[in-house]
Amino acid sequence: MKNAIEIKNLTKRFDKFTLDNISFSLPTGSVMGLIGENGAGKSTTIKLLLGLLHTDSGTVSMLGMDAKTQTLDIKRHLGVVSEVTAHPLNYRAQDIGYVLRAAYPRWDESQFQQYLKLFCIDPTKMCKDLSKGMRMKLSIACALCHDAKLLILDEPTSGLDPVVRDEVLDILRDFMQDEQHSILISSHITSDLEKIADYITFLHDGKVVFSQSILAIQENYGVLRCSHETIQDFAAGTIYAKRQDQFGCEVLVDPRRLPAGMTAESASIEQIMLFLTRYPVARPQGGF
Amino acid sequence: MLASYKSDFYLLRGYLKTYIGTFALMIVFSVVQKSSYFAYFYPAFMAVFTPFSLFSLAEQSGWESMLLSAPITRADIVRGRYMMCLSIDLIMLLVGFITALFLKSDISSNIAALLLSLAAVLVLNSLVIPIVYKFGATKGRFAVMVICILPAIVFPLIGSSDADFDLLIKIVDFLQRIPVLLVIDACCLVLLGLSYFISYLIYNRKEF
Repeated sequence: MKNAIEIKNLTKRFDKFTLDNISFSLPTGSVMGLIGENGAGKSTTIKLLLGLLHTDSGTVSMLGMDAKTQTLDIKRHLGVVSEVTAHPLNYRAQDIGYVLRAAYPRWDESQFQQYLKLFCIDPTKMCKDLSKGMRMKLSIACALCHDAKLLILDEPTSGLDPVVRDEVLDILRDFMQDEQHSILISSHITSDLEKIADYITFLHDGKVVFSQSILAIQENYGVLRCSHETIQDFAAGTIYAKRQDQFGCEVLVDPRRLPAGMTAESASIEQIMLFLTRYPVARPQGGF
Repeated sequence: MLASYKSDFYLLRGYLKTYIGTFALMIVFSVVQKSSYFAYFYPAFMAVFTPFSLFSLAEQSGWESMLLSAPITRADIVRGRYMMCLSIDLIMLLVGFITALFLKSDISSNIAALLLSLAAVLVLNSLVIPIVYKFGATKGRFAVMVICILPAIVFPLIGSSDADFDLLIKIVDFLQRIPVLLVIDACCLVLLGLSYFISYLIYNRKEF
């Protein structure tokens, strides 16, 4: 199976927002970060993948299966962690296991108990009495206990302290030890994505700005601080975005097109996102 | 369906003590008043009340979105919801029946009362659950209030003369015959099936 997720020309229209003809693929055995500002369409994309929203057009396949006709087969191998899919506060941790055991044919109760012990979660404690970090770890435990091949995580580390975030990333790295496993992770915390992601898809205003590997991003994007006059000599297409101030300007550039003798610093995902969202120059027709 | 049923059970678990306690009180009233009315009234009342509790709890928690990301169909979720609502009502009806037998040993009138209450439970569930699926727990309350108040407005308008009242008594007497009640309950089961189908259509279109 080449791709764990394949999205082609996916469109969803709301009154004031449209997820417009997005396409991207997550290769099997990879981690893809889905980034974008608030309201870019990340959660909408994830909801469309999960069937919580109905598509207007386009196709989605996951784990080599069509999402419309083989929904149950896909979900048997899908683990989901999301702010939207929260646990009821009056549930105990073990109750969630009892319910999911009836849902997933390959639910592993002993593994679930092991995760509860590992995460120091009291099975008899109510979810409302668990801290946010504990609830997130409980969600991750639920996602990992039924032989999932694909994890879809929507803001899994949001609101967590750095220690817990690091623990969560370690759990995800362990999950990825199996080369048949894949993860799609939507997050605002781009530093976490830089630690774990192999690919990044950037959504802005309901459209895909780019979907590239981390290596390609490192080659294709750089940040340069220079004067206004310097950038006049740049070839067309060198500058993706420009932020000007009274002292000069900071530009997001294609390092391969810079004049000889000039080098740009490697751009972080956060910088790329910031520049392309707030200070873009004209975008080429095929995207960045 | 089992996952959905269990899910609803755990959602309602915190309220079960209240339900059981209130029902126990109704049983006591029945025993004290030597009338099975309260024992049968509560299940019918719960047929209206339980769906609202379930839907409110599910909406607040976002738990249904979690269930939908598991290998559970929307039909299973709707079926589980119906089964949970009916389970509570039927258990209460059974306890009410046993209490009524204790109070009045005339089995045929107790069976008639049970069948009549069962019909009420089935009809109320059939009406209330699709309304709540369509409008949600908050707006659905208003629609259900209209349905419950409607008979109180309509019946006085149907007849105000003694002849009309006699006719009403005859109809009520006829409806209390066990074979007639069995037919009515069978029709109510069909209505429940139709209600499930409508609920499924509504829920299948729903977006989260």
